[in-house]
Amino acid sequence: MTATEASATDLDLVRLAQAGDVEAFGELVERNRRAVFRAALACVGNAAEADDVAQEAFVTAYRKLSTFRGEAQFRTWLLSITWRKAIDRRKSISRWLKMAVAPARGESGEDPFDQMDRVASADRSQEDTIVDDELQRNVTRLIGTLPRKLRDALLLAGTGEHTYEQISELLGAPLGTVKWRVSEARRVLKKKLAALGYAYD
Amino acid sequence: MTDIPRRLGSASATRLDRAIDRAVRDMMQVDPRPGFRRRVLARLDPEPVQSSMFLRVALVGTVIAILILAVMVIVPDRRSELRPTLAQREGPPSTTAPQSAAPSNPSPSKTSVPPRRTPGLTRERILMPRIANVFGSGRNGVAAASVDDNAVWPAPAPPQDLPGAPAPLVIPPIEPPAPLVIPPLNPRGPGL
Repeated sequence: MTATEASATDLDLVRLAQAGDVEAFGELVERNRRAVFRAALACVGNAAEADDVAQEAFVTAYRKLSTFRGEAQFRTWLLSITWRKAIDRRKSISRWLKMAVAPARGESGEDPFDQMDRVASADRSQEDTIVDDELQRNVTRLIGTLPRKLRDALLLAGTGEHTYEQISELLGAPLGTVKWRVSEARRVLKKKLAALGYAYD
Repeated sequence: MTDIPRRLGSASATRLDRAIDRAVRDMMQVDPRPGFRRRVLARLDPEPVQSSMFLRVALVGTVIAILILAVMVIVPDRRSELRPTLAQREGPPSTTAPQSAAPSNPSPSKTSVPPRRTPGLTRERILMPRIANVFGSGRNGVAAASVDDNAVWPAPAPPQDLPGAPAPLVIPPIEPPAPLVIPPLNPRGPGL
């Protein structure tokens, strides 16, 4: 990465990439890889598949780069491509076959939302270690039982990479609806946890 | 069960909120595997390959289309060429009669029937090479359709004696047999 590329805006890099500068596009990949990967992860729920979807999204963006006019932010445009790819992957037959073959971790009838690698859990803080592991496992499992609309909003909001405005554009829902979905997801989770007895601790 | 959330205490709610935040963070704050940029750029390379593949497919398709067109153009021409040829082959047998009626001129290049001309074919005369008559003179060949009752056939020339040649076979004339004499019958029997 050159100093020019490091100080350039996304739009500058897009212009360079449109002119055939592959390294400029590589810099765009570096800047947006985390946001793209986590958006895909929120949708497909599996780190390996999210990695593949994110790569596909970047490749598609590169091929469609000539259609990008700069009217929206590059990241927003890229995330919309990513989300469509991820939705397609989630709907794909192979995905469903895999889900049908793999045993569900939770109760019968729940959405077998795959749980990804716990990379972040390796560096737990002192405070985090106090939290009950069993409660954590139950919360994670119950997130998989949420309706998709609530779950998508909750997970996208939890990535730390996407603003509510971006999530709103990604999901094609008004900003207020997105915020309500996040709040509703949390309420439903707490209700289910309370049903499991955690409310009386 | 609907009143359970209302019974949640603030401490429990905070604890559950914290648990939810932590679970979501653990699930989502994951980074792609190292080398992501390299993997993406490596997948950009097949683009020119795909375009060259497209060119190859287009080239093969063009060649196939040209072949199909060529076959469609050539086959009707061949049919129109074969039609008069077959008609000439299947012509009436009377065409051989004048040829036999004039045995002194057995050349196959001359015929009394004018060749059929088909529109579209060349009108230039095609000179065919003379073909030797491997079957000998047409005089010795007799066909039912070519026999002329009034024709006078010349006698063949006698063979000339060649030195060292075997003596000609002489067949003596056949003598007539002696007349058969039958003696009169003896009514008393023979020797009596």
